[in-house]
Amino acid sequence: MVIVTVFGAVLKVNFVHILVAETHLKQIYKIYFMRKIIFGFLILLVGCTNNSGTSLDEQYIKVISDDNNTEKLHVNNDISFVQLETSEDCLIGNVINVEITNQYIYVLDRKSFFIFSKDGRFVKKIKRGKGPGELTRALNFSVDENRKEIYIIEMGNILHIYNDLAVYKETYKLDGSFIDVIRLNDDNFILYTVLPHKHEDFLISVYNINSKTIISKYIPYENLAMKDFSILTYNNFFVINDEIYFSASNSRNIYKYAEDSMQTIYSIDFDDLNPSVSYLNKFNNVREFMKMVYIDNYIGFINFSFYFDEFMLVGFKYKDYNCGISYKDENKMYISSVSDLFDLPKTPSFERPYNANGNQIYFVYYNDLLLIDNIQKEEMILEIGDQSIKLTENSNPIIVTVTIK
Amino acid sequence: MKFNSSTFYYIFSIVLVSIIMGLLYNFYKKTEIEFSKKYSLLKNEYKLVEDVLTNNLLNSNSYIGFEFNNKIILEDTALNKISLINVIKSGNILVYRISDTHCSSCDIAGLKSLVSPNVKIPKDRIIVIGSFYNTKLLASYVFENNIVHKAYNLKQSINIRAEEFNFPYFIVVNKDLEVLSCFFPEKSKPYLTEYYLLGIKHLFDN
Repeated sequence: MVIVTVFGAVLKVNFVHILVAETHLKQIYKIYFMRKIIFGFLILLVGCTNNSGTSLDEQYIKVISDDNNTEKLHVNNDISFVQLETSEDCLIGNVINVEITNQYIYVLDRKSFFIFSKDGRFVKKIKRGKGPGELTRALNFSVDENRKEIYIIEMGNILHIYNDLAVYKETYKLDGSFIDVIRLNDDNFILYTVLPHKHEDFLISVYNINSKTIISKYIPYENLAMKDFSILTYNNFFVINDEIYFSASNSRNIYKYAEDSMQTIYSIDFDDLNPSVSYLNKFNNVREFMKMVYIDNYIGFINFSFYFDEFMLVGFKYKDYNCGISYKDENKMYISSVSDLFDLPKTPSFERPYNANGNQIYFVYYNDLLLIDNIQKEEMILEIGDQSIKLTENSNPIIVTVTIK
Repeated sequence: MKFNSSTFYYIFSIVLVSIIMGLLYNFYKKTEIEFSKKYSLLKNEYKLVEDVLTNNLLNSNSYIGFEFNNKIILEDTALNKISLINVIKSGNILVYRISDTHCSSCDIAGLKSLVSPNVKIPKDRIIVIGSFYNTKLLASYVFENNIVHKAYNLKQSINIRAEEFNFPYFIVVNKDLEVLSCFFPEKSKPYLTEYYLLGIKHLFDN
């Protein structure tokens, strides 16, 4: 009886102790957690200064959908072709991105990264594998012509650096998941996230290679009308005159990196073609939204934006159109299609440019002419303006360069 | 200070019971964590299977009766052109649809199900139709993945709505190019694909 009583008392004491200990632990954890929150808040406060994406010189551009100003809807240009060499070592599939420098043509498809000479001869391919610098799932890449370096984002959280001939240099493991990258300066890279709003609060992160951490974040999702919807786009950064411009699929703004922040320089007003908040609230998933927004004649995602001396070209899908053109010093954007603007054939290969550099726009031509009506033919001639090239079935695509006059 | 035997007994009991309680508490916590992990895993598994079944119930059935255009041209891995109607003229054919734009591991999971010993559909009644920009890419894909079935490349677009999902799928097509059955597999649940393939076996009996 005594033992039972003592055991009961001990049990009670012990239980109370455990409870007390647990309460203490909770308090300690709370203090630790609060410190983490305060620390995180301070980091955000420092890191995200001027990150609202609004700043001076912001220009509003109103989209015009019913102006048939033919002069504005045509851009004089020259065309040139480069047939990429075809061999068992360099069979190109679905191209993700293309970059063209003074020396090379860089192509990333869903499996490999290829380098071709400017006249289309195959130079090199990065091996698939898990060794240093080898690729298993490259998502996107960019090239810094001045530094003669290639940056490849793999699986969203690995950044590989190579020289301009794809000789491996180094790798950084990133905290996050990113779809696009550009070198900001010797120490920092700008990264565009691929994570949806519920997992990430900012579109842009700046990664420092010395501290190997994200040191700043810009453009909060909260400020975006389409914050819950985004798609993978591969031409988000554009460099002209050493200035970095940025656009995202779910933002109506065009940003420029200046004064250590991402600043809005253009705000595009799609007016009644913009899906309303109540319309957006009807959708739970991006796939359904992407389909319906087009059917309901609204403008959904921004697919690309490129800047040239005289105009800005912004990609989006609306009825039979696939882009808008906005001339400098005009606060208007004319809705058009890439094929109409540059006198190109109306085929899938010319629905979107794969990249642009200086006054050149690049397309990947997938031998469209040998499809549909000509499916039984093995060769044909593609003519654009006064230029022509022979198409051969099952050969690598042709890079079509449009040079703006 | 002198300890008597009962003091020692109490202290010993308190220490012993404390240790036992501590161990029990740890055990309880560990079991609770393991249980919540398993529960959440099970919940996710359930949700995934539910999604697969819902997707199939909602979408797959709506493609039954769809008729393919008889002008569709395919290309085999030796780069010979052949019309779809000529490939299917011998009777019902199970088509596994893959593409260069699909998630690669999803396509491969379906290919593995096709060669599972549980699948009793004759090999010559199964074809793989891929969509690759270059048919040579399909040929290298067939080689890399040891595909034992006849594979063809389709460069034209086809207007069956199943294509919109950009995801691999199975369809059974009869000699009139009419869809008899459709299934969207889930790579992490190959047994569901095998159940489907077992369920349609009778369509290839004659």
